[in-house]
Amino acid sequence: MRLNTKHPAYVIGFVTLVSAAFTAGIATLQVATAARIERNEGLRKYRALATVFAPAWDLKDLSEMSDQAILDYVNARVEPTPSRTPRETEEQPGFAYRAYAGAEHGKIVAAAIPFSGIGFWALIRGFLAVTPDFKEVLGIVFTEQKETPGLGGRIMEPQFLARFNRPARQAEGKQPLVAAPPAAGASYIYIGRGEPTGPGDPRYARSVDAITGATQTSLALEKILNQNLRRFYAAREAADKPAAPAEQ
Amino acid sequence: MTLTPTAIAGRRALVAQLWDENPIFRQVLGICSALAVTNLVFNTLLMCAGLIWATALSSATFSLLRNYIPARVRMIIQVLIIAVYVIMVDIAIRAYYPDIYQMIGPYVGLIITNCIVMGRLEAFASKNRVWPSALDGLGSGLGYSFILLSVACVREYLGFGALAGYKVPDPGQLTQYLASAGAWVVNLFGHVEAPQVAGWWKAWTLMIMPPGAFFVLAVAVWIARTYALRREAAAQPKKGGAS
Repeated sequence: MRLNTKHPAYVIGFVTLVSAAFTAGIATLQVATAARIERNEGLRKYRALATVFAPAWDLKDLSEMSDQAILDYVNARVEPTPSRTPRETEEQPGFAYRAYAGAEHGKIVAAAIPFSGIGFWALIRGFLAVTPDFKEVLGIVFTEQKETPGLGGRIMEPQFLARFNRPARQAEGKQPLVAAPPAAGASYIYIGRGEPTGPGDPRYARSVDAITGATQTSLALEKILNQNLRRFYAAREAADKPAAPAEQ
Repeated sequence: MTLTPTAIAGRRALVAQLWDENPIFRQVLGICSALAVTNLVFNTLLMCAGLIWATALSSATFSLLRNYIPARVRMIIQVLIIAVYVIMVDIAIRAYYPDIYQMIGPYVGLIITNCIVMGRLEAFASKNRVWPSALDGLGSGLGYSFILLSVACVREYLGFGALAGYKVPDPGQLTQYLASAGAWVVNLFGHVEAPQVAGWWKAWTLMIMPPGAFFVLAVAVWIARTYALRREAAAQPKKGGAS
């Protein structure tokens, strides 16, 4: 029997059958790898926290630590900030991860403020580590970005990350970056807006060099960091204010 | 050993796609990704591997189904088949190579829209048997990769002074080696200080930016076409003479 491939019923039946078969194949693969992908994403966050807290913990080489060792290390020493709001998530303004010196949760050595926003192409997400008093930047790490490889994508490179890293800046004789709220009208962080002229300049100790050839990513990152820090410090300030007495 | 007609057709398709019908410099297909990913050799390599996989397997699958596919929906089916293989690559990289996924994730999905894949399905796999179609897809993927990797090597070297992420002597340092070697030879007969010339070379940022891709790809296509045309002219029987 010869198939009439032009008959509308055949066309609909064929497309439905082929689509169902291929979709089932992809769905099976997706389900089979879902746990692994979820674990990878969780691990990326733990590795990012370990990276950004490394100067505070004096961790030298993370590449020698296994995935499980990093998970255990971070789990033992990091916890979300004490709940300021009933439903605390990373997206909640004022949220930060707190890093303790040891597993016994004694001395706090750093905090990491999550940030996210749209870069030149897509979402950029990461953590900005600050000192326990939230006044100075310790380092930065990115957990997600889809900027142009070789250009904006170079925000992931150690050379760029070192521009935020306090020990690396001090080794170069530069001031650590200030994270505390700036004067009215000024920004928290400046990326690639020229060298500050001196302590009177609003960019003093708040400026990092941009990536050559990645102006749009640098501008987007500056905007993301400033928006997130502004929101973070506003939320902290609001939470620290004593609650107004209830009206009688 | 005698080859079957199918095997001969497959081998012919594979070889033709590598050079005589190369998708980049003869058919001018897949230029968008050629411009986008070639600023780093490693990214280019991964993109090429994904494209070879997608082209070979979607050609074979489309060829297998070709007699049952209604003509009016063949393009929808082509896109569906290509998308399935590309999504498989995407999921596999996310699951097993998460660090690499962070770097090239945005480009993997773009393989679906690469005109080489659909072009081979439409031009070859829709009319030929499974094995020649798979080899045709493989050949076009390899032909694409050959040009892209050549372009990527030039761009990464001139832009970053590196190849696949490994630092190599830049043109300034190479000149310095030459100058030092020249001075060493002269010193066999007299005395001369090697000139310090390494600093003349600065990383060529334009090469890693999109305009750099246009220049290098154009030069690569020019060289390849000139060579191919000369070969073809030499292979033509000469006109005139005794008949």
